[in-house]
Amino acid sequence: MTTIDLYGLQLSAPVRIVQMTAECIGVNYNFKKLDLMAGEHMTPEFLKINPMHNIPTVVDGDLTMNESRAIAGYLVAKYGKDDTMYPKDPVDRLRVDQRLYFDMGVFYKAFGDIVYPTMFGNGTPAGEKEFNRMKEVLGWMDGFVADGKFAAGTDQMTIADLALVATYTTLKEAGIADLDLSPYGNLEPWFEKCKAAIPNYEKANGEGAAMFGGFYKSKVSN
Amino acid sequence: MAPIDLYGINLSAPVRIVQMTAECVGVKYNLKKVDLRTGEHLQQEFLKINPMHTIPTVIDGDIVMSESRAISGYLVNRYAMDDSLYPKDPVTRARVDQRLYFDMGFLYKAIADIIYPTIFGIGKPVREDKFHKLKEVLGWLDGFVAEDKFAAGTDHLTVADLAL
Repeated sequence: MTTIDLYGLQLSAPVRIVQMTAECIGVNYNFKKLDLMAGEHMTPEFLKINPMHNIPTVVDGDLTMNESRAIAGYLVAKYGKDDTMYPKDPVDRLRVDQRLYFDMGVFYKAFGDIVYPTMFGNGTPAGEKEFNRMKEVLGWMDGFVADGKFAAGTDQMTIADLALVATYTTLKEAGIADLDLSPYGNLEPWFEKCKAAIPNYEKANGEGAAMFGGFYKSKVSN
Repeated sequence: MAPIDLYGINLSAPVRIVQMTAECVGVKYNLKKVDLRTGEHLQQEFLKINPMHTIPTVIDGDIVMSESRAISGYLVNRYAMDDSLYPKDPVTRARVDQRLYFDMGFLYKAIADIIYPTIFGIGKPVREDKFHKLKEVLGWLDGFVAEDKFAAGTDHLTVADLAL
Protein backbone atom coordinates (compact mmCIF):
# COMPACT_ATOMS: atom_id res chain seq x y z
CA MET A 1 0.00 0.00 0.00
CA THR A 2 1.28 3.43 -0.93
CA THR A 3 2.26 5.84 1.84
CA ILE A 4 2.59 9.55 1.13
CA ASP A 5 3.85 12.33 3.39
CA LEU A 6 1.30 15.02 4.14
CA TYR A 7 2.55 18.23 5.72
CA GLY A 8 0.01 20.47 7.41
CA LEU A 9 -2.38 21.04 10.26
CA GLN A 10 -5.69 19.27 10.76
CA LEU A 11 -7.55 22.49 11.26
CA SER A 12 -6.86 23.47 7.65
CA ALA A 13 -9.78 22.58 5.36
CA PRO A 14 -7.52 22.04 2.32
CA VAL A 15 -5.35 19.62 4.34
CA ARG A 16 -8.52 17.70 5.18
CA ILE A 17 -9.47 17.46 1.49
CA VAL A 18 -6.28 15.46 1.03
CA GLN A 19 -6.87 13.36 4.16
CA MET A 20 -10.41 12.46 3.13
CA THR A 21 -9.35 11.63 -0.44
CA ALA A 22 -6.55 9.36 0.81
CA GLU A 23 -8.95 7.58 3.17
CA CYS A 24 -11.54 7.08 0.43
CA ILE A 25 -9.16 5.54 -2.07
CA GLY A 26 -7.00 3.66 0.41
CA VAL A 27 -3.70 5.54 0.43
CA ASN A 28 -1.76 5.69 3.70
CA TYR A 29 -0.31 8.99 4.82
CA ASN A 30 2.24 10.13 7.37
CA PHE A 31 0.80 13.28 8.85
CA LYS A 32 3.68 15.67 9.43
CA LYS A 33 2.41 18.45 11.63
CA LEU A 34 3.67 21.93 10.76
CA ASP A 35 3.04 24.51 13.43
CA LEU A 36 2.34 27.55 11.30
CA MET A 37 1.96 29.77 14.34
CA ALA A 38 5.53 28.89 15.32
CA GLY A 39 6.69 29.50 11.74
CA GLU A 40 7.57 25.87 11.02
CA HIS A 41 6.55 26.41 7.40
CA MET A 42 9.23 29.07 7.00
CA THR A 43 12.23 27.02 8.16
CA PRO A 44 15.00 26.40 5.59
CA GLU A 45 14.23 22.65 5.77
CA PHE A 46 10.60 23.11 4.81
CA LEU A 47 11.31 25.79 2.22
CA LYS A 48 13.58 23.25 0.51
CA ILE A 49 10.58 20.92 0.30
CA ASN A 50 8.08 23.62 -0.68
CA PRO A 51 9.37 27.13 -1.47
CA MET A 52 5.75 28.30 -1.47
CA HIS A 53 5.57 27.40 2.25
CA ASN A 54 1.89 26.50 2.23
CA ILE A 55 -0.22 23.55 3.33
CA PRO A 56 -1.10 20.94 2.39
CA THR A 57 2.18 19.86 0.88
CA VAL A 58 2.38 16.25 -0.24
CA VAL A 59 5.47 14.21 -1.04
CA ASP A 60 4.94 11.00 -3.03
CA GLY A 61 8.31 9.60 -4.00
CA ASP A 62 9.86 12.10 -6.42
CA LEU A 63 6.72 14.19 -6.65
CA THR A 64 6.27 17.11 -4.28
CA MET A 65 3.21 19.23 -4.71
CA ASN A 66 0.82 21.71 -3.15
CA GLU A 67 -2.76 22.73 -4.01
CA SER A 68 -5.14 20.37 -2.23
CA ARG A 69 -7.63 19.96 -5.08
CA ALA A 70 -4.87 19.12 -7.57
CA ILE A 71 -3.46 16.62 -5.07
CA ALA A 72 -6.89 15.03 -4.62
CA GLY A 73 -7.24 14.59 -8.39
CA TYR A 74 -3.74 13.14 -8.62
CA LEU A 75 -4.38 10.59 -5.85
CA VAL A 76 -7.52 9.31 -7.57
CA ALA A 77 -5.81 9.18 -10.99
CA LYS A 78 -2.73 7.39 -9.69
CA TYR A 79 -4.11 5.13 -6.97
CA GLY A 80 -7.88 4.92 -7.35
CA LYS A 81 -9.31 1.48 -8.19
CA ASP A 82 -11.55 3.25 -10.68
CA ASP A 83 -12.53 6.78 -11.61
CA THR A 84 -15.77 7.13 -9.62
CA MET A 85 -14.31 9.76 -7.32
CA TYR A 86 -13.03 11.80 -10.26
CA PRO A 87 -14.85 10.62 -13.38
CA LYS A 88 -12.99 10.74 -16.67
CA ASP A 89 -16.09 11.36 -18.81
CA PRO A 90 -15.59 14.94 -20.08
CA VAL A 91 -18.97 16.23 -18.94
CA ASP A 92 -18.82 14.63 -15.48
CA ARG A 93 -15.22 15.77 -15.12
CA LEU A 94 -16.28 19.31 -16.03
CA ARG A 95 -18.94 19.32 -13.33
CA VAL A 96 -16.54 18.03 -10.67
CA ASP A 97 -13.87 20.55 -11.70
CA GLN A 98 -16.42 23.34 -11.70
CA ARG A 99 -17.34 22.49 -8.10
CA LEU A 100 -13.68 22.28 -7.08
CA TYR A 101 -13.02 25.79 -8.43
CA PHE A 102 -16.29 26.96 -6.84
CA ASP A 103 -15.04 25.58 -3.51
CA MET A 104 -11.77 27.53 -3.77
CA GLY A 105 -12.90 30.73 -5.41
CA VAL A 106 -16.46 31.17 -4.14
CA PHE A 107 -17.41 29.00 -1.13
CA TYR A 108 -14.20 28.98 0.89
CA LYS A 109 -13.45 32.54 -0.21
CA ALA A 110 -16.79 33.82 1.11
CA PHE A 111 -16.17 31.99 4.39
CA GLY A 112 -12.61 33.29 4.69
CA ASP A 113 -13.72 36.85 4.02
CA ILE A 114 -15.89 36.60 7.13
CA VAL A 115 -13.63 34.74 9.54
CA TYR A 116 -10.08 35.68 8.60
CA PRO A 117 -10.21 39.33 9.74
CA THR A 118 -11.25 38.10 13.19
CA MET A 119 -8.81 35.20 13.29
CA PHE A 120 -5.75 37.06 12.09
CA GLY A 121 -6.64 40.57 13.14
CA ASN A 122 -5.86 41.99 9.71
CA GLY A 123 -8.08 43.87 7.34
CA THR A 124 -11.51 45.31 7.91
CA PRO A 125 -13.95 43.19 9.92
CA ALA A 126 -16.62 41.51 7.80
CA GLY A 127 -19.80 43.53 7.32
CA GLU A 128 -23.14 43.35 5.57
CA LYS A 129 -21.55 42.84 2.15
CA GLU A 130 -19.64 39.74 3.25
CA PHE A 131 -22.64 38.25 5.06
CA ASN A 132 -24.97 38.85 2.12
CA ARG A 133 -22.42 37.20 -0.14
CA MET A 134 -22.13 34.17 2.17
CA LYS A 135 -25.92 33.77 2.10
CA GLU A 136 -25.99 33.99 -1.68
CA VAL A 137 -23.25 31.36 -1.91
CA LEU A 138 -24.98 29.07 0.60
CA GLY A 139 -28.12 29.31 -1.51
CA TRP A 140 -26.22 28.05 -4.56
CA MET A 141 -24.54 25.31 -2.53
CA ASP A 142 -27.93 24.23 -1.15
CA GLY A 143 -29.21 23.97 -4.74
CA PHE A 144 -26.28 21.83 -5.87
CA VAL A 145 -27.19 19.13 -3.33
CA ALA A 146 -30.97 19.32 -3.54
CA ASP A 147 -33.01 16.21 -4.36
CA GLY A 148 -30.43 13.89 -2.80
CA LYS A 149 -27.75 14.69 -5.39
CA PHE A 150 -24.05 14.71 -4.80
CA ALA A 151 -22.52 18.13 -5.38
CA ALA A 152 -21.43 17.63 -9.00
CA GLY A 153 -24.75 16.02 -9.95
CA THR A 154 -23.19 12.55 -9.90
CA ASP A 155 -24.74 9.38 -8.47
CA GLN A 156 -21.67 8.70 -6.35
CA MET A 157 -19.49 10.81 -4.14
CA THR A 158 -16.59 12.57 -5.83
CA ILE A 159 -13.67 14.70 -4.70
CA ALA A 160 -15.93 17.71 -5.29
CA ASP A 161 -18.04 16.51 -2.36
CA LEU A 162 -14.94 16.04 -0.21
CA ALA A 163 -13.73 19.58 -0.89
CA LEU A 164 -17.15 21.09 -0.22
CA VAL A 165 -17.58 18.96 2.94
CA ALA A 166 -14.25 20.30 4.22
CA THR A 167 -15.44 23.87 3.73
CA TYR A 168 -19.01 23.26 4.96
CA THR A 169 -17.97 21.52 8.18
CA THR A 170 -15.41 24.22 8.92
CA LEU A 171 -18.10 26.85 8.44
CA LYS A 172 -20.47 24.93 10.70
CA GLU A 173 -17.92 24.45 13.46
CA ALA A 174 -16.98 28.13 13.39
CA GLY A 175 -20.53 28.86 14.53
CA ILE A 176 -20.53 32.36 13.10
CA ALA A 177 -22.95 34.62 14.92
CA ASP A 178 -25.58 36.16 12.62
CA LEU A 179 -25.20 33.34 10.11
CA ASP A 180 -28.14 30.96 10.38
CA LEU A 181 -27.60 27.77 8.37
CA SER A 182 -31.12 26.39 8.86
CA PRO A 183 -32.59 27.94 5.68
CA TYR A 184 -30.21 25.75 3.68
CA GLY A 185 -31.94 22.49 4.47
CA ASN A 186 -30.27 20.29 1.86
CA LEU A 187 -26.79 20.68 3.29
CA GLU A 188 -27.05 18.47 6.37
CA PRO A 189 -28.60 15.44 4.61
CA TRP A 190 -25.93 15.70 1.91
CA PHE A 191 -23.19 16.02 4.53
CA GLU A 192 -24.46 13.02 6.51
CA LYS A 193 -24.48 10.92 3.34
CA CYS A 194 -20.88 11.89 2.58
CA LYS A 195 -19.74 11.41 6.18
CA ALA A 196 -21.06 7.85 6.15
CA ALA A 197 -19.03 7.12 3.02
CA ILE A 198 -15.69 8.51 4.26
CA PRO A 199 -13.55 5.98 6.16
CA ASN A 200 -11.98 7.29 9.41
CA TYR A 201 -14.09 10.43 9.01
CA GLU A 202 -13.30 11.83 12.46
CA LYS A 203 -9.55 11.62 11.93
CA ALA A 204 -9.77 12.76 8.32
CA ASN A 205 -12.08 15.73 8.87
CA GLY A 206 -14.24 15.81 11.99
CA GLU A 207 -11.47 16.54 14.49
CA GLY A 208 -9.83 19.16 12.31
CA ALA A 209 -13.05 21.04 11.61
CA ALA A 210 -13.71 21.14 15.36
CA MET A 211 -10.15 22.46 15.93
CA PHE A 212 -10.75 25.26 13.45
CA GLY A 213 -14.03 26.08 15.16
CA GLY A 214 -12.35 26.17 18.56
CA PHE A 215 -9.58 28.43 17.30
CA TYR A 216 -12.03 30.82 15.65
CA LYS A 217 -14.28 31.00 18.72
CA SER A 218 -11.28 31.75 20.91
CA LYS A 219 -10.44 34.72 18.68
CA VAL A 220 -14.03 35.97 18.69
CA SER A 221 -14.22 36.05 22.48
CA ASN A 222 -10.95 38.00 22.78
CA MET B 1 -19.55 20.72 -34.55
CA ALA B 2 -21.65 23.77 -33.75
CA PRO B 3 -19.77 26.69 -32.21
CA ILE B 4 -20.00 27.10 -28.47
CA ASP B 5 -21.48 30.25 -26.97
CA LEU B 6 -19.09 32.15 -24.72
CA TYR B 7 -20.66 34.81 -22.54
CA GLY B 8 -18.43 37.56 -21.20
CA ILE B 9 -16.11 40.35 -22.24
CA ASN B 10 -12.57 39.96 -23.39
CA LEU B 11 -11.10 42.30 -20.85
CA SER B 12 -11.69 39.47 -18.36
CA ALA B 13 -8.68 37.18 -17.98
CA PRO B 14 -10.80 34.08 -17.24
CA VAL B 15 -12.83 34.72 -20.43
CA ARG B 16 -9.55 34.83 -22.34
CA ILE B 17 -8.46 31.48 -20.86
CA VAL B 18 -11.48 29.97 -22.63
CA GLN B 19 -10.86 31.93 -25.85
CA MET B 20 -7.24 30.81 -26.05
CA THR B 21 -8.11 27.21 -25.28
CA ALA B 22 -10.82 27.18 -27.95
CA GLU B 23 -8.37 28.63 -30.49
CA CYS B 24 -5.71 26.03 -29.61
CA VAL B 25 -8.16 23.11 -29.73
CA GLY B 26 -9.93 24.36 -32.87
CA VAL B 27 -13.36 24.98 -31.38
CA LYS B 28 -15.29 27.93 -32.79
CA TYR B 29 -17.05 30.24 -30.37
CA ASN B 30 -19.64 33.03 -30.50
CA LEU B 31 -18.56 35.71 -28.06
CA LYS B 32 -21.75 37.08 -26.47
CA LYS B 33 -21.05 40.30 -24.69
CA VAL B 34 -21.94 40.38 -21.00
CA ASP B 35 -20.41 43.50 -19.53
CA LEU B 36 -20.01 43.44 -15.75
CA ARG B 37 -19.31 47.15 -15.71
CA THR B 38 -22.89 47.89 -16.73
CA GLY B 39 -24.43 45.08 -14.66
CA GLU B 40 -25.38 42.97 -17.68
CA HIS B 41 -24.54 39.85 -15.69
CA LEU B 42 -27.34 40.66 -13.23
CA GLN B 43 -30.04 40.99 -15.88
CA GLN B 44 -32.81 38.41 -15.81
CA GLU B 45 -31.91 36.92 -19.21
CA PHE B 46 -28.40 36.13 -18.06
CA LEU B 47 -29.43 34.94 -14.60
CA LYS B 48 -31.68 32.39 -16.32
CA ILE B 49 -28.62 31.05 -18.10
CA ASN B 50 -26.27 31.25 -15.10
CA PRO B 51 -27.78 32.03 -11.68
CA MET B 52 -24.23 32.55 -10.36
CA HIS B 53 -23.88 35.48 -12.77
CA THR B 54 -20.18 34.97 -13.51
CA ILE B 55 -18.15 35.18 -16.69
CA PRO B 56 -17.08 33.22 -18.59
CA THR B 57 -20.24 31.18 -18.98
CA VAL B 58 -20.19 28.69 -21.85
CA ILE B 59 -23.02 26.83 -23.52
CA ASP B 60 -22.15 23.74 -25.54
CA GLY B 61 -25.30 22.11 -26.79
CA ASP B 62 -27.38 21.55 -23.68
CA ILE B 63 -24.46 21.89 -21.28
CA VAL B 64 -24.13 25.20 -19.45
CA MET B 65 -20.86 25.69 -17.61
CA SER B 66 -18.86 28.21 -15.60
CA GLU B 67 -15.35 28.34 -14.10
CA SER B 68 -12.84 29.09 -16.86
CA ARG B 69 -10.23 26.52 -15.83
CA ALA B 70 -12.82 23.74 -15.68
CA ILE B 71 -14.19 24.81 -19.09
CA SER B 72 -10.67 24.86 -20.52
CA GLY B 73 -10.03 21.28 -19.36
CA TYR B 74 -13.41 20.20 -20.75
CA LEU B 75 -12.68 21.62 -24.20
CA VAL B 76 -9.40 19.72 -24.38
CA ASN B 77 -10.81 16.50 -22.91
CA ARG B 78 -13.78 16.54 -25.25
CA TYR B 79 -12.55 18.06 -28.52
CA ALA B 80 -8.76 18.05 -28.79
CA MET B 81 -7.01 15.69 -31.21
CA ASP B 82 -4.64 14.59 -28.45
CA ASP B 83 -3.99 15.34 -24.79
CA SER B 84 -0.90 17.52 -25.17
CA LEU B 85 -2.66 20.65 -23.90
CA TYR B 86 -3.86 18.77 -20.81
CA PRO B 87 -1.83 15.57 -20.49
CA LYS B 88 -3.58 12.59 -18.96
CA ASP B 89 -0.48 11.10 -17.31
CA PRO B 90 -1.23 11.47 -13.56
CA VAL B 91 2.01 13.22 -12.64
CA THR B 92 1.94 15.69 -15.55
CA ARG B 93 -1.76 16.32 -15.03
CA ALA B 94 -1.05 16.97 -11.32
CA ARG B 95 1.51 19.62 -12.27
CA VAL B 96 -0.84 21.30 -14.72
CA ASP B 97 -3.69 21.27 -12.19
CA GLN B 98 -1.37 22.64 -9.52
CA ARG B 99 -0.56 25.59 -11.81
CA LEU B 100 -4.24 26.16 -12.61
CA TYR B 101 -5.08 26.42 -8.89
CA PHE B 102 -1.97 28.59 -8.41
CA ASP B 103 -3.32 30.87 -11.14
CA MET B 104 -6.66 31.26 -9.38
CA GLY B 105 -5.56 31.28 -5.76
CA PHE B 106 -2.20 33.02 -5.93
CA LEU B 107 -1.40 34.88 -9.14
CA TYR B 108 -4.79 36.30 -10.08
CA LYS B 109 -5.67 36.87 -6.44
CA ALA B 110 -2.46 38.81 -5.73
CA ILE B 111 -3.08 41.03 -8.76
CA ALA B 112 -6.75 41.54 -7.97
CA ASP B 113 -6.01 42.45 -4.35
CA ILE B 114 -4.02 45.40 -5.70
CA ILE B 115 -6.05 46.39 -8.75
CA TYR B 116 -9.68 45.77 -7.74
CA PRO B 117 -9.94 48.52 -5.10
CA THR B 118 -9.10 51.03 -7.83
CA ILE B 119 -11.29 49.44 -10.52
CA PHE B 120 -14.29 49.12 -8.24
CA GLY B 121 -13.75 52.49 -6.62
CA ILE B 122 -13.45 51.18 -3.10
CA GLY B 123 -11.10 54.04 -2.36
CA LYS B 124 -9.08 52.55 0.46
CA PRO B 125 -5.30 52.52 -0.05
CA VAL B 126 -3.94 49.08 -0.81
CA ARG B 127 -2.03 47.61 2.15
CA GLU B 128 1.70 47.29 1.66
CA ASP B 129 1.68 43.55 2.40
CA LYS B 130 -0.32 43.05 -0.80
CA PHE B 131 2.60 44.40 -2.82
CA HIS B 132 5.03 42.13 -0.97
CA LYS B 133 2.77 39.18 -1.73
CA LEU B 134 2.59 39.98 -5.45
CA LYS B 135 6.37 40.19 -5.64
CA GLU B 136 6.69 36.86 -3.86
CA VAL B 137 4.16 35.27 -6.24
CA LEU B 138 5.87 36.73 -9.32
CA GLY B 139 9.14 35.29 -8.05
CA TRP B 140 7.57 31.81 -7.94
CA LEU B 141 6.04 32.22 -11.41
CA ASP B 142 9.40 33.39 -12.74
CA GLY B 143 10.94 30.21 -11.34
CA PHE B 144 8.27 28.00 -12.95
CA VAL B 145 9.25 29.25 -16.42
CA ALA B 146 13.00 29.51 -15.93
CA GLU B 147 15.31 27.68 -18.31
CA ASP B 148 12.75 27.90 -21.08
CA LYS B 149 10.29 25.50 -19.46
CA PHE B 150 6.59 25.76 -19.95
CA ALA B 151 4.82 26.60 -16.73
CA ALA B 152 3.97 23.03 -15.64
CA GLY B 153 7.47 21.79 -16.44
CA THR B 154 6.32 20.32 -19.76
CA ASP B 155 8.19 20.71 -23.02
CA HIS B 156 5.06 22.03 -24.75
CA LEU B 157 2.21 24.45 -24.10
CA THR B 158 -0.60 23.34 -21.79
CA VAL B 159 -3.77 24.94 -20.44
CA ALA B 160 -1.69 25.97 -17.41
CA ASP B 161 0.33 28.28 -19.67
CA LEU B 162 -2.86 29.71 -21.16
CA ALA B 163 -4.28 30.51 -17.73
CA LEU B 164 -1.05 32.02 -16.47
